[in-house]
Amino acid sequence: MQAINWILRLVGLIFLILFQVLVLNKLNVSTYIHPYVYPMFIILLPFETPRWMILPLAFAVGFSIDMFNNTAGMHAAACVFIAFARPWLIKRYTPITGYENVNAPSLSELGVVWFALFTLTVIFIHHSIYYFLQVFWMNDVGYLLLKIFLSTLVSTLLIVIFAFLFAKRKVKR
Amino acid sequence: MRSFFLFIIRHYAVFLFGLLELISLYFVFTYNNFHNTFFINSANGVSGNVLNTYGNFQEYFSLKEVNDSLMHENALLREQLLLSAVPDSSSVLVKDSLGQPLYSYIPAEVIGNSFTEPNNYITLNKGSNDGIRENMGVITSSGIVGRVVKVSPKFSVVMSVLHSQFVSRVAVQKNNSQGRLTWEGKSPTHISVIQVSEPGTLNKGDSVVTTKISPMFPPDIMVGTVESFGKDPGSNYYTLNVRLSTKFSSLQFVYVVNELLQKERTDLENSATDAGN
Repeated sequence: MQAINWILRLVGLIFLILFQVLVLNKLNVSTYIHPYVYPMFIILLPFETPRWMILPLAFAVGFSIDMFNNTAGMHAAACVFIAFARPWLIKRYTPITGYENVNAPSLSELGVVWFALFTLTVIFIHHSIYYFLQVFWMNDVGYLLLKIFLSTLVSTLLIVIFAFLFAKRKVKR
Repeated sequence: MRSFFLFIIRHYAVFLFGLLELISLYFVFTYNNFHNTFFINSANGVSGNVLNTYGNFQEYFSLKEVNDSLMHENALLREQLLLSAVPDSSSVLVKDSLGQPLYSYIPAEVIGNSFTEPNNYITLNKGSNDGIRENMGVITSSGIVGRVVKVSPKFSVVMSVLHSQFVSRVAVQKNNSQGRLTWEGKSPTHISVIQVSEPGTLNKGDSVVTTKISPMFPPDIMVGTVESFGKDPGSNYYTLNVRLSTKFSSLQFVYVVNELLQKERTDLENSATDAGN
């Protein structure tokens, strides 16, 4: 069961990366909005994933996006950071009833509000680091903040929509 | 010593985190400095092939536009052909006095393109097998595009004009007053020309073109048109705000400029600076 779960996750990861690189990166709404949905893979990992595993995994995911975007290490740095911060965030966002019988962040089991808040926080950290590394040479704090803010909103929205689609398919089975 | 190892083992996550962050940041801060082919870019096997396959699909949806732009370019070239039949000083730009061509062009297709990032790159479907080398200029029929920074056998990565480290000297066409191109990192349709001294009488809509000084582009390749200009406070230099003639959002076919006498020129320039030292 565990093995099948992981295979499904990896297939999902490949789809997320392809969607990111071939669709989202070519979509050019504005210079302020450039959403990244691939961190969804890191968000959805099981709560019990050991750190020796999640950190290199996050590094590899970020690095593969870097290869397509020619951003050399920026996504990797942001991903490793959110992977490192994740356990604290999970603790911080513990629902009143605790995480009983839930082994991974999921929209259907923890509710839309919990999932959206958790995603928003993780994506906000990711985008802050990524865009800081991208833009700090421009010395334009207003531009940086607006870019982080708007892109975070759009990315979070997209991830929640994705989670809805995924949850629906699970219910049908 | 034993307690030291125990300490590391207990807090391995922090050390692993620190190590991975250091590796990432090392790449961030050295990437633009290395100019040898390295594996973290879209010219490598996996990402290049994925982008190329997708590009092949996407091509079918824009066949009409591509046809139109090629027709347009053909018409332009035909016009130049007629002009070049008349002995005209403009033909000197393309050939040297012995009639030897100065530039050849390698056509390539854009398979990866970004223009909303603060530093943009373009991936092309041709590489060193087709004769592309680093530091070659890249143009389209409508204007300049960038400079080749990384090459693999089958792909190459171009630093777009829309990049903080892209440098080139350009000039206002009508009076040849020169300045330096710099992109502020926000709008993919506009670029600044800084350090223009004495631009004379400028008008909105004046053409800005490449110069003979910039080694990677042929002279008189369009950069854009002047939209506004002003004097920098506290100096004698002017800054021009230029609307780019290349549409970066719909780039599809480009030409990589091969300057045939480049080696001779750079060798001479290098030996001159060596002699000066």
